[in-house]
Amino acid sequence: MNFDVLWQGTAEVLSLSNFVMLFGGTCVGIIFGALPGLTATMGLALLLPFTFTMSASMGLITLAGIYIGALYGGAIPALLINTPGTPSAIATTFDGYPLTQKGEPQKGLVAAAVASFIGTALAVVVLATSAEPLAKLAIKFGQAEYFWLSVFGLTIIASLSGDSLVKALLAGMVGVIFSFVGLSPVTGEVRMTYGIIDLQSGINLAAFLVGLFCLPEVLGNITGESNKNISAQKVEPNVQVVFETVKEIFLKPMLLLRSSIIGCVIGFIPGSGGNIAGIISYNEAKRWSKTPEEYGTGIIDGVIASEAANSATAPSSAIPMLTLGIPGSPPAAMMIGAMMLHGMKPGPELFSEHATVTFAFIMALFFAALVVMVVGSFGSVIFSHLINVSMVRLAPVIILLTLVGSYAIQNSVWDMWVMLFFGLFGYIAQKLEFPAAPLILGFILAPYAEEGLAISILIGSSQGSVFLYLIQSMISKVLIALSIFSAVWPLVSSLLIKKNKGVTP
Amino acid sequence: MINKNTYIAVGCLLCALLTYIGSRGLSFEGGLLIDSSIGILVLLSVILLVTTPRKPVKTAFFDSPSELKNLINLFLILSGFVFFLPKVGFLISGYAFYFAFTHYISPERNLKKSILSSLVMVSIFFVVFKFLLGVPLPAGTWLGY
Repeated sequence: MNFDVLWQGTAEVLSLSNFVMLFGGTCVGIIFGALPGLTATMGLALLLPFTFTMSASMGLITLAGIYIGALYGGAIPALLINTPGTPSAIATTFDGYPLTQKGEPQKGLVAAAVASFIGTALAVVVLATSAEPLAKLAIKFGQAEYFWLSVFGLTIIASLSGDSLVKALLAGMVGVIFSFVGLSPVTGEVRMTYGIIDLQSGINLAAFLVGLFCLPEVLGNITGESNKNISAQKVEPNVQVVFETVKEIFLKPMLLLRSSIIGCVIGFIPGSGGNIAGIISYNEAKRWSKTPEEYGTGIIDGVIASEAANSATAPSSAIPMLTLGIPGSPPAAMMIGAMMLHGMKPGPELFSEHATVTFAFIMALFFAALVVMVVGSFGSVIFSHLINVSMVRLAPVIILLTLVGSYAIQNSVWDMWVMLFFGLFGYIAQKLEFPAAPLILGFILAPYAEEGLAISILIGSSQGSVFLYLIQSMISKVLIALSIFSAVWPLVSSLLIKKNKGVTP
Repeated sequence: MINKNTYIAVGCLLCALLTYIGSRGLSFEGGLLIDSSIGILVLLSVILLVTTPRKPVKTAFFDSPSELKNLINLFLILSGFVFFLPKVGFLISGYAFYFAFTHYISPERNLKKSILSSLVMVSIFFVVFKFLLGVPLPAGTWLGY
């Protein structure tokens, strides 16, 4: 790596006009991320035309700010109202919302901001130093590898099972079945639409998530005889909590490092995003914890695991984008568009002909994360006050926001009906103690598994053996081993706990 | 004994049936995971159904008698908003929804307060989404604007 270019890129970002645009872009990104239904991709798409008149570096620096800001912004509603602002923040709700219910929303917000910074910073180091070899590894990811990656993801259901493994598996399977609605990704056949044309495009993930998470929570608080607030305690945010939480976070270096690495690895695989990284990281954090039973009850470890991983995916998804011109995610595709409009062709020449601008973009990701950490940490003092507002006043605003947000995804009223349907479904599921987390996991991962398996069968058949095709690469073998370990581990650990309890007098 | 797990198992069996109906006649690749998913869903539902009588779970579904009534009414208000949105546009349906929702859940049922909050909040939403975020909110086909 050429350090001179790195410094030039840093100097470019830190010039007053560029830094002002970065700061503004990051704040706009946070707002986009925090509004359910509005994603980083939408924010980038909306503001992309404004960057046309800017210089290439200023335009890319602004877009980097929007992207990183939106990734963090998704955590704010996930923590405060149990609604992932972006799909990447799904796993943040698992411990983030219980933390808020315990009266500690500020801790969660600070943990999310700091973990986002650390995840992004580590991934920026990886991007700046090892983009080329990692990009070569990324293109080795074929359909068989995608299939095993999704199988590995699905084995996490076992550790999200709570009190009943059967119910968790059932929820996972229901999620898998919801993902089948629409056109087959391989053959294009119409499935499970029951004559409804709108169902042909499938169930929109954002509408599904908002309905399943947000609506049941809000309705649950206002349908009973006595209206409840999000937290039973009055929250009194103060700056002292920021410093205490930062100190607490830095006492967990392994958790931060592991989660960031998971985010980096998942991020550079084209097509897999922050939502998968967050869930896998959360599961690994729980698995390696000495007190796994505390996960889900409202501890900052769960928030750190999810946010460090999903934030790390942003710079690492830029690896195949910058080196090979492969957009690993929809926001990366937007970035490629912006680069091309400024006459920059993604590929090796970015690091030679446009090195300063490229490194300015890479460093902008880092500084945007720094802005997120400062704004998120100190902004938590303001954001946390939301919890003290009565649910009677908050509920209509939240519900209108989720409805309009669902509409805004594709400018479609149909998505609002989808959101309402899953809101009702989620309400009933909550009453029946039917877990939502495995359902989402199944819904997200099943399309990868289906496409990977179907195409692997087609390729394997032409090569003589489907089985051999599925297991022949080293990446597949590693993923198979991880899947077996992940599926068996909850069983082994529960046996070990029982054994230890038996020994203890 | 009918309890929460019974409802879940029956619901999942219904889901399996609907999936079967909606996925008949697919090619091998198109229905590859669907058939196995139906099989697993039925198997797990039966396991839950069979093991349930020995493990009774709390059966109370709603915390209070008014909860079901409130749930139905609030869902009717929400559905009304989504139904009328493309017909009368965001502003009219939004004002009506916000007023109805706020007035229904508010303990004091203050008419002036509900009207005022609906006018202010929906107008803010309209300006933010339509003009700042560029979301083309429905204008309404009935009113022709």
